[in-house]
Amino acid sequence: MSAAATCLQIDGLHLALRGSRQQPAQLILRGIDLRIHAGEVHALVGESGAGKSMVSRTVLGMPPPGMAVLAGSVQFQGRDWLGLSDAQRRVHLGRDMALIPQDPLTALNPGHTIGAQLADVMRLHLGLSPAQAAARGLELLAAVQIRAPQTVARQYPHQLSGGMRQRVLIAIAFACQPKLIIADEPTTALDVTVQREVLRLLRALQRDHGVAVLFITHNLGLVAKLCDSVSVIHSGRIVEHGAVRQIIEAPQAPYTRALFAATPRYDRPADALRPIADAVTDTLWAQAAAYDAAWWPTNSTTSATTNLATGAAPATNGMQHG
Amino acid sequence: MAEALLDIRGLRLALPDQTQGRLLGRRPLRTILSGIDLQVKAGECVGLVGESGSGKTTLARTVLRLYEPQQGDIVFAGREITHMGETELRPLRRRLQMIFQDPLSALNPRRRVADIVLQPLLAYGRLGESPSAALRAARVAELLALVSLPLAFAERYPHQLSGGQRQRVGIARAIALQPDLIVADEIVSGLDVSTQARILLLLRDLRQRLGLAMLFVTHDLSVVRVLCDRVVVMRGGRIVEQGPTQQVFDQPQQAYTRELLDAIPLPEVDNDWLQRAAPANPPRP
Repeated sequence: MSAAATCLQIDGLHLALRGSRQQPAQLILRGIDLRIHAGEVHALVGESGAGKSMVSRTVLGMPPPGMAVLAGSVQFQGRDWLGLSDAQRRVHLGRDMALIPQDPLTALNPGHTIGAQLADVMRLHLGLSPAQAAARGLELLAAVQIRAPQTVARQYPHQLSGGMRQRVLIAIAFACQPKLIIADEPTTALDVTVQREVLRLLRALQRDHGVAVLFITHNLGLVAKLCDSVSVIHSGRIVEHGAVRQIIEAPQAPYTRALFAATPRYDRPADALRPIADAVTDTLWAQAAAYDAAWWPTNSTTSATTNLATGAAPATNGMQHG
Repeated sequence: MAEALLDIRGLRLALPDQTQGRLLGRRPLRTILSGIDLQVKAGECVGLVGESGSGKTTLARTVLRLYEPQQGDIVFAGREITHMGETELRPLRRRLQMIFQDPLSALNPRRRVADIVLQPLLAYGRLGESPSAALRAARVAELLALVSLPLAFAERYPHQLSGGQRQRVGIARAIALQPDLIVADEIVSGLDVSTQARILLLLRDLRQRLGLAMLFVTHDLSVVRVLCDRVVVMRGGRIVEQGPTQQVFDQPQQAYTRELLDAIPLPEVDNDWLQRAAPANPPRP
């Protein structure tokens, strides 16, 4: 695995929420390091508020309003990714880097047919003619094991089941042969049996095309079954990372262990369930606060706020962090 | 041997088929549930599991008599409620409460937590004609303490609470009238791992302290193991298997139950698991 080329490399990523007169700027991501090799499925596991979606949105170049990158770099395919302008990034988004979103009903346009939405991305990025794009769209629908591609291509999103919609989104994500797919909890809305089928498909396509996947989830079971490596995130920091077998079978960080103990399992007696002790999360938040206290003075607050206020291009390599 | 609190025999329910056009002003009926036999004893927690479209939510709603079945009997607390009118049902509804999946849409956004949890008590005149502020405050404090919410939350609005805290308010409202049976539909599915574990333990604790019976609807069989004494597996509007939770999970009798259990991703490395994916979605009856 170590011989494989690096597809995505995040170093010391700091994301902050803009300060106001009442409230100083606040760190959301505190020095995230993450590396995904070509063809690898890497899980980013955490609970809500941990920052996992912030990582994916930053990588997609769309941090939420009021947030900006203060320090750190993101390298995609060996190139500085955050230094690109939005327009430059858009050339790659959907083509080299694709997203499989959580909710297919909001991600698909309700007013366009499935076929048209599939064709759109290929006409835009690959310059295919309408006829070529339509033909390739049918192949893609067949590749995600939709039985009647001709029929489905003419249908609208509301006419499909949840599992079918998610397959369509997978087809769209793979349409331009991307190098990296960001999958943000793509199966939370699905039944377990459908979930397994959709994931099997995702895994098979990913292997065949050698695509790297950043798989964002809160489900440790999916990490174990689908992924090659894992990063566990809490309070905007990676608390533990490693190969999947290592993390699943011998988790080291107290938080990771607590996460396992708090996950109900049908094969374990009812009293095996342990909620995450406050002490575990309190320690992590205290560490985050200590980190912030040490970080802000060395990284001038004024320059940070001006940076946020002017919405200037995100600092990439210029700022050091401590 | 106590008589069942809820006793359902030979239930069949058909609802207007939304996929069909109207015929003489009415849509043709489509059978959603058939041949349902289900008993819940006082203080017992029964898990109702199945995939979407299996009819588990419809069955839960029929128990609440939001639907009137075509065939069969529903007996609750010794009274036949199958075709009972709304006026007659009202006193029984106090004993039959519901917790909803999405607390944000189930809680009135314009009311404070204190008013939300008091509402059922006021609606049923449990606090007398014009309750004093002290009496109201006492009941609010008692209810919030039961669901382990700080008293300060009484003055907050639902949008000021986290998902887990909102669900606790939903639970407090449901137990306010000291019901005998609570129907809970997917109430922990939207929650984080740590929040989910806490809510599950809270529900287990409340069941023991208040002697509550529950009909717990979920698609997550792991959650059932934590909370339920018995489990009922549904598919295509029918019950395919039921029994004590441990027995059903350790020795499932039906192929479908085994398939459902195997589809749950346990946090264990298993390279064949993805390959065992089977085409799902059975046709409805």
